[in-house]
Amino acid sequence: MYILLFLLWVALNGKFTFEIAMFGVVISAFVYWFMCKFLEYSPKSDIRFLKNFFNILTYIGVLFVEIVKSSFVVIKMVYSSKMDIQPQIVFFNAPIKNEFLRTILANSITLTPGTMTVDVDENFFCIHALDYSLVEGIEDSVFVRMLMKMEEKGNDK
Amino acid sequence: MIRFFISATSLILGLIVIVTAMVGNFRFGYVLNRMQVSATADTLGAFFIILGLLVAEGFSVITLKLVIMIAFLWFANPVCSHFLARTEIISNEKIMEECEVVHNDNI
Repeated sequence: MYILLFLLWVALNGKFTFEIAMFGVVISAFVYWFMCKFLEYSPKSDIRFLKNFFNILTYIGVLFVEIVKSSFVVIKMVYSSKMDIQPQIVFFNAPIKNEFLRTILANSITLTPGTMTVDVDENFFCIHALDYSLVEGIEDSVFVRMLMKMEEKGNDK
Repeated sequence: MIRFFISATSLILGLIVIVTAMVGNFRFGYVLNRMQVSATADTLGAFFIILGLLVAEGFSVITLKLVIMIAFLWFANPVCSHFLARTEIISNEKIMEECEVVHNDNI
């Protein structure tokens, strides 16, 4: 994470000189300390992140593919001559305990065009969908399965 | 030359997606349906346009900045549409007329 912060600093600066690098080291150290102290962040979670690194990359890929697929479904709906859509609100239960992963799940559901998270309460997700075909089998979709795998891996340290 | 064509294609695709979202905004009646359609513009449209800019620019610091931009967009966008949707659902008394409510039985 420290390295990520440093890279962010360099990227936002636009050029790489000695002075900028020194400032970057100091500032990212400060930000990292701040995160550890106030944002419940620790080097342990860094290790967990690294363990899951491959899974995270696959997750981003899957998310992207899903976005493209459902985007085309939505675009087809927009241009179809008759508007035969059935909006639905679906409640379902995802057995994910980690709060951060739950947030990721809710965000990726909202990010996919056609479905939108309305409410999350503990394990219950309330989802609005543009058409019923978009939410079929959402309670064991790819997202949920991958996040559960990530949670298992993060837990057995 | 090839780079120019790739970036132009991607920019045009992005524009098509955004125009589609706009047309959809006018065609659908209800707020939540409209939001779903405009989510397409925010995700796929923004992605295609930024991809086009990336290819046009080539590899430099600006590449990193554009990647940061798209990451930020994709993180911030769900949060705000979630809040809008939640407010709508809480405040609308006649929600049943607009969409059918389904409870999954395995709760």
